[in-house]
Amino acid sequence: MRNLNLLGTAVIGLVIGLWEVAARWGPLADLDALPSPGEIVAAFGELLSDGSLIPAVVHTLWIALLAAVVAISAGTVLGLLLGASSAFRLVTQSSFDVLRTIPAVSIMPVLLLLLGPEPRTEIIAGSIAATWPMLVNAADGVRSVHPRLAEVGQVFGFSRTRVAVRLTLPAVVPNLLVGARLAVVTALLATLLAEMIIVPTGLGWALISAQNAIQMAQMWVVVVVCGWIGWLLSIALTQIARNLQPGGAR
Amino acid sequence: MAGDAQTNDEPEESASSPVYELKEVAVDLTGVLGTRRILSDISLTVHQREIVGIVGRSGTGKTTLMRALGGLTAPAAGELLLNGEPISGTPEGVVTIFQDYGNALLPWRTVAKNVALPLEGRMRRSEIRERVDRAIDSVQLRGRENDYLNSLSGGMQQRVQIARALAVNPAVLLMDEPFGALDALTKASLQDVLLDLHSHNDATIIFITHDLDEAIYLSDRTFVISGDVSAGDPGHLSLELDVELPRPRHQVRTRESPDYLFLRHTLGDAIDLARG
Ligand SMILES: Nc1ncnc2c1ncn2[C@@H]1O[C@H](COP(=O)(O)OP(=O)(O)O)[C@@H](O)[C@H]1O
Ligand SMILES: [Mg+2]
Repeated sequence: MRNLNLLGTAVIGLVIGLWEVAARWGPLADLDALPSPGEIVAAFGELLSDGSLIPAVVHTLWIALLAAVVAISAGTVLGLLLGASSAFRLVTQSSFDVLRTIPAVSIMPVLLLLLGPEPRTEIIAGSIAATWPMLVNAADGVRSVHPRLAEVGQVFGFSRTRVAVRLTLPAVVPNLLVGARLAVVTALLATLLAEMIIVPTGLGWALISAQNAIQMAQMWVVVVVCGWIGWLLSIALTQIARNLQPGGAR
Repeated sequence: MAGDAQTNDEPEESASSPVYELKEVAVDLTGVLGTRRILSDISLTVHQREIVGIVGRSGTGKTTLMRALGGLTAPAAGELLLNGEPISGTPEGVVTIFQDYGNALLPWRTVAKNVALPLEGRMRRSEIRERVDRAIDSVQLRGRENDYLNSLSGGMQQRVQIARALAVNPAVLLMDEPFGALDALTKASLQDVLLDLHSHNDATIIFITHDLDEAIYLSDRTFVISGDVSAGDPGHLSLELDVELPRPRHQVRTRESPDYLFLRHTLGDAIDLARG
C-alpha cells in the first residue's frame, strides 16, 4: 500500500472543519440543502440503526457486480471476436456502432415496460451499459497486438490456436483489465440510475426518497456512501489488475 | 528424439551441401504507396555450417531478405530453395532473431519462461529446464532467470531473444542486427559466445549488421547489399567477400592481422561506392 498522503488528508480535514463552522454559524447556516458534517454523521447513525442503509448497500452492490460480470463476459467474448475476425467485424461492426450510440438511460423505460420493476431489469440495464467499454477495449487490444508476436509463433511452428492462446490473449490482458475496470464503474453508475428511475430499490432509490422527503442530511449520507463504494471498488480493481499483470503494464 | 524436428541432430551431411540456394530472387512489399520492388536479382548459395554476414546501409532491404529466408515473406520472382526444396511458410529448424526484440519478447513472462516458449509441450519438463538453463548460461544471463523484461536493459532483452533461439538448437539461425543494441564490450563477448557455440555444432548462421568489423570478424563470407528502394533502385548484392581468416578468431589479434585490415578496406570501399 502507498503511504497515506498526510498533507492531502489534512486538507480534507480542514475543509470539513470549515464546512462545519460555516454551516453552524457562518454563511451556510441558512442553506438547507447543505447540512453540517455533524448532522450528516447523525443521520448516518439513524440510517444504520433503522436498518435501511445496509440492505440498500448490499442490494446495489450485488446488482452492480452481477451486471459487471455479465458485461465483462459478453464484452470480452464479443470484443475479442471483433478484434480477431475480420469476417465477424464486417458483419457486426456497423450494428455495434449504431447500438453504442444509444445512451443506456434511454432504454431503461423500455426495459421497465418489458420486464417490470424487478432486480433482473436492473441487472440487464446495468450490463447493457457496461458491456460497451469492455467490448471496445477488448477489440482495440486485439488489434493493437504487434504482428511480430504472431510471427514469433510462426517461427517456432505454432498452430493458430497456440498463437492465440500463448501469445495474443496474454498480450491483450492489460486492455482487458482496463475494460473490466471501466465496466465495473459503469455497471455501478447504471445500477444507481436504474434504481432512481425504474426500479425503486437500493441506494439509488434511497437517494431519491431522501430528496423527496426533504431529508437533506440523509441524502448526503447516501452520496457519501456511494463515494466510498466507488473508492473501495477502484482500490480493489487496481489491486486485482496488478496481480493479474505480471511484468507490469507495458 | 522423435517429434523434435527443430534440432539439427539428423545424420551429418557433407560440409559443403547447400542449405540455401537463391536464384534471381526478387521481393515485393505492399505498403501505403502501393506495391514496390524491395529486392531484385538476389543470387547466393549458403552452405551448411557457414557463417554469412550481410552488410548494407539502412533501407537497402536487409530485413526484407532475412524475412524471405525465414519464410515470413514470399519472393515475387526467382527461386528460393532450402535444402533443395522451395520454401513455403516458416520452415522447421530455421529460427529468426528479430531486430525489434521489444516486440518479439513476451513482457508478461520471466526471462526463463520467455526462453522456454518454443519448447513448451514438446519435451519433458526436466529437459526444458536443462535447455533453458544452458541457453541462459550461454548468453550470460544467469541470475536473471526470474526477472521480468521491464527490469532488463535493451541489450539484456536481446540476449533473451538469442537464448530463446538457441534453446531450440536450430539448424539455421537468421539474425537481424542481433548485436546492434549492445554496448561494445557486451557485443564483443556475445560475438565470441556465438563463435564458440558455432564451433560445437552444425548450425548455419546468416546475420545482418551495419558494423563492417563485426561482419568480417564473425563471417566466412560477407555480402554487401546496396540500392535505394525509394529511388526505384531495389536492393541487390553488390559484393561477395570471402573471409578466409583462421578460426578460432581473437578479438584483438584477428583485428590486427594484415588480412583483416585488407578485408576491412575492401568492404569499406564497397559500402562507400554503394553510397553512390
Ligand atoms: N510493407 C512495406 N511496404 C513498402 N515498403 C516497405 C515495406 N516495409 C519496408 N519497406 C521499405 O523497404 C525498404 C527496405 O526495408 P528493410 O528491409 O527494412 O531495410 P533494412 O533492414 O536494410 O534497413 C525500405 O526502404 C522500406 O521503406
Ligand atoms: Mg532492418
